[in-house]
Amino acid sequence: MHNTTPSSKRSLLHRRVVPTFIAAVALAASFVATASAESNLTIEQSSFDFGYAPQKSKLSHIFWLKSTGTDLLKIAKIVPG
Amino acid sequence: MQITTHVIANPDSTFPVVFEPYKLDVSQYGSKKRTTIEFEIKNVSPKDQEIEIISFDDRFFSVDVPKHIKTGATIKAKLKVKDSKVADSFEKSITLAFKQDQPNSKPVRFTIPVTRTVRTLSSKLDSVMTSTGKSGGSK
Repeated sequence: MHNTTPSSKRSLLHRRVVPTFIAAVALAASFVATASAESNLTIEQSSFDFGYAPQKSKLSHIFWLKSTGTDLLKIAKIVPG
Repeated sequence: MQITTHVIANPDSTFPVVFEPYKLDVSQYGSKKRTTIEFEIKNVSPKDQEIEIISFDDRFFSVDVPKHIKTGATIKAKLKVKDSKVADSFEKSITLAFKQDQPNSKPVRFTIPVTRTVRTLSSKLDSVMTSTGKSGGSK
């Protein structure tokens, strides 16, 4: 027998969702280096746990990237995954 | 014959809280401004919970959520779109963490999607819709 109370419907919505969704940003950065200067990239937070979320919903989080070198850092590609 | 029954308050709930609604839509159709939405959080766990806001995009909206929720209680939270983003459509989310008022308890995270779609009608049509009370609907 199925329980059709409102609380069970809400739980079902979350149950189908992957419990933990971790978005990691992988960067393919090309470093432009000269004889004296060097480029460097610092990512303080490389992953984020969204926890439980409704199925097929769009989620967002901001990752901060800091150029900590002494030369220009060129970001050639960003691969979310 | 003896029948023994056990009553479980929330038989299918593996989560400490329930959101109502579980997705936030602050869409605006027409010229009537719509910038806020309220949502409820119900504590269905047997313990009081501490609430922490983990992440949201504060360039787009602000979120007002109480810091505690007692067991069995329902609290109201509010989202308000920033004035600078009133004309924008966006898809964002809010991540909250719930932790029992006990040492060594692990926090549980939930992410609530937030969407806003802005569609403005032509001024002539909008005035007709407003006068007939059909402006500002969300369907």
